[in-house]
Amino acid sequence: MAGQMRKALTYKLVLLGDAGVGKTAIAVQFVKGQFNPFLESTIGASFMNQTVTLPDETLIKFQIWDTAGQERFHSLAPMYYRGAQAAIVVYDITNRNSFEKAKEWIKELQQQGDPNVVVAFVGNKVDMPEARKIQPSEGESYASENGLFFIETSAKTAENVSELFMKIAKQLPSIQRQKDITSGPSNPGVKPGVGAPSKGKGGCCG
Amino acid sequence: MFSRHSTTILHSHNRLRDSTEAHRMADTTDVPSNTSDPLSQGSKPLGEEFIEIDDKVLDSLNISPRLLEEKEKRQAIWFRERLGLFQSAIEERVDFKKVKQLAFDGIPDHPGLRSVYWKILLGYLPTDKSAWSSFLVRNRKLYDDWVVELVVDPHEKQKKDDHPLNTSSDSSWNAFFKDNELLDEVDKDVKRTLPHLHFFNHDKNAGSTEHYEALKRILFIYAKLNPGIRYVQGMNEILGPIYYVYAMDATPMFQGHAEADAFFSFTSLMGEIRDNFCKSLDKSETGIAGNIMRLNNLLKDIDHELWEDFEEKKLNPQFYSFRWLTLLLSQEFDLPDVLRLWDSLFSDPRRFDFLLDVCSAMIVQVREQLLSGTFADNLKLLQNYHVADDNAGMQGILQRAKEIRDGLYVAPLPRPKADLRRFIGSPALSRPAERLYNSPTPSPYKDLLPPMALIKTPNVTRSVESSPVVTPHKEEERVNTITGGFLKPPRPFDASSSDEDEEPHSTISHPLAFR
Repeated sequence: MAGQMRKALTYKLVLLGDAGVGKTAIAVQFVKGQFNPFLESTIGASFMNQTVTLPDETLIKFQIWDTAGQERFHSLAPMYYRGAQAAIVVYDITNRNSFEKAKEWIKELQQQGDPNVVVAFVGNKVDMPEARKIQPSEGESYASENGLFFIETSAKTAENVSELFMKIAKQLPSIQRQKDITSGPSNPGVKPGVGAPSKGKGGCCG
Repeated sequence: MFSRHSTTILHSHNRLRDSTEAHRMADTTDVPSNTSDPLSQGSKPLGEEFIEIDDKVLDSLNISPRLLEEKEKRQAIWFRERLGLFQSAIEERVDFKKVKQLAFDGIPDHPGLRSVYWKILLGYLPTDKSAWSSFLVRNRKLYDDWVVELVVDPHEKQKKDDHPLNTSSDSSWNAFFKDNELLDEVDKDVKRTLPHLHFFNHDKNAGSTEHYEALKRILFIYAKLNPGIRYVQGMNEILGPIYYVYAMDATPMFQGHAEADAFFSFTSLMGEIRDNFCKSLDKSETGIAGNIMRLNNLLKDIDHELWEDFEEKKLNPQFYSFRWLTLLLSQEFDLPDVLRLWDSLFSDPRRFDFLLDVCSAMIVQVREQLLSGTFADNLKLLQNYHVADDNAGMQGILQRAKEIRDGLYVAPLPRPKADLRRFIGSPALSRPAERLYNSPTPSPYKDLLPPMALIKTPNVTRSVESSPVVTPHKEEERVNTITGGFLKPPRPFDASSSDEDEEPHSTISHPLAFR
């Protein structure tokens, strides 16, 4: 239905992972098609959006929340992943700690996130094979055990970056249709998912 | 592999301290400037050649007057007079009150001036100027000792029975591995501090210049000495501009000591703003969430329509203001604007309340766009804030912030709702200003106000209690001045009648002073 109308379906997507794994770089590569090795560290969360077109011509508009990686900002994360229909959990294939941290994020999402959230488990920085610490098989098996889809990317060379988002997009609309049936139409002034994080909170200080 | 880390940073510390090379790295290419404007926020880092001839340059302006516009001459004279004021305020004894008053309106671009002023404003340099040199010697020695002490290298310090797999708490190897985790964490962020600035990033091996090494040591030592807060992402963004300003200072007393001096100034500044970085204070009034709430209340008071619009769009203030407030806006503007802004923030007698005024000024400067934008439009606009040229850039924001601080900013009247539109044009609503806001006396600031603005009446004025003179380190004296607004008496319109310390201003009127 939506595809025939050529109206974009809006989805909230959140990027999670340890500091310095390349969350912002992935988002910027996807949104702007650029790579900068020294992006300022993300404080709080930054917001971007980008639209993709599925083969059936459905337009999927991603509202991307790129979160800060450091532990100090962990307590802020729920307001960004709650109500998100998709999550990308990123680790750096050259850094064992970041892999462990990514697994913790998956656990947290499983416990606290939306049960229908589409989760991608992403190993970034494949442009640095000589420094690799995490083999693809390790990421792959963790992902399949947990029902996630797995992909390795390079934000630097753009390898698999748009594939990552396309794969997520393909999984989304059916979920959304299910939701529309159960929850009815959303507030016309607010795009689906956007209002959720602040609902009933009266700002950040509740 | 691990040892490389700590020995490198120890090594280059000595190299940096012993050499003045760092200060010859004066980066004049990346920083735009506007030299014709003495108040210029251009902050052109002046190279050494300039230090020699600063007075000559000014004199030369007089020698060939016909080459100059009348305005430029006036500016040059004004600049020299203003510079004289700045220098006299710190001549023998530091007149702290004067220093704050002057600096609030921007520190002139004169070699070393901002550097010494910031050291005073941040509570590093004592007011007794005769004590400076011994004070500096003592502190720099202390810092050097910390570098040696805290940057542990077990290869050099190894005890007989110690070994890399020793997990006991007194093992220097154990401490070493923990330190390396911290160092990695710091390193990740340091190498992306002000990455566009050639000063920091001039090396081919991007992200590893001697200046980055200095930042790394400062943050590492700060984290070691303050285990309760340790290192938090964003501290690098606070430290970066301070270190930059100090490293550009080529005056004999400070040249070559940017690292140690920046460490102490940073520590002092963190004493005031560290609550923003502290996770456990997120829910307290002094933590970041408390500050976000205060900003939100301020916006509600000064521009209710816009605030309501944000509420309707579910634009949670945290989405845009978390980074603004945590980093003192250092990621929002180009460095010259940040330096000018921090002149005001560091000399704000109401310690960092002016930051809230500036943030709300940024918002109301683009209110029309915000009112017509969607959630996504607004968030992108606020997260990627561009200083609009037609609003006189940073100067425009600061001017608006002062109006907000002084209760002089009045938002345009709300746009009529749909059911009122048919009344538009009828005499009853054609001059709402006189009808709704019947001001007893014309405001002296009439010309300052934006075209739509009206003279404010008490019941819509954000109140600002007269706050005590607050010294940088007395946290308990910080007064929350933005409580509820509506019930409190308004601030007088006549700024000159209020406490001088709250109204820092230059005594010289300047052709380009806040219009």
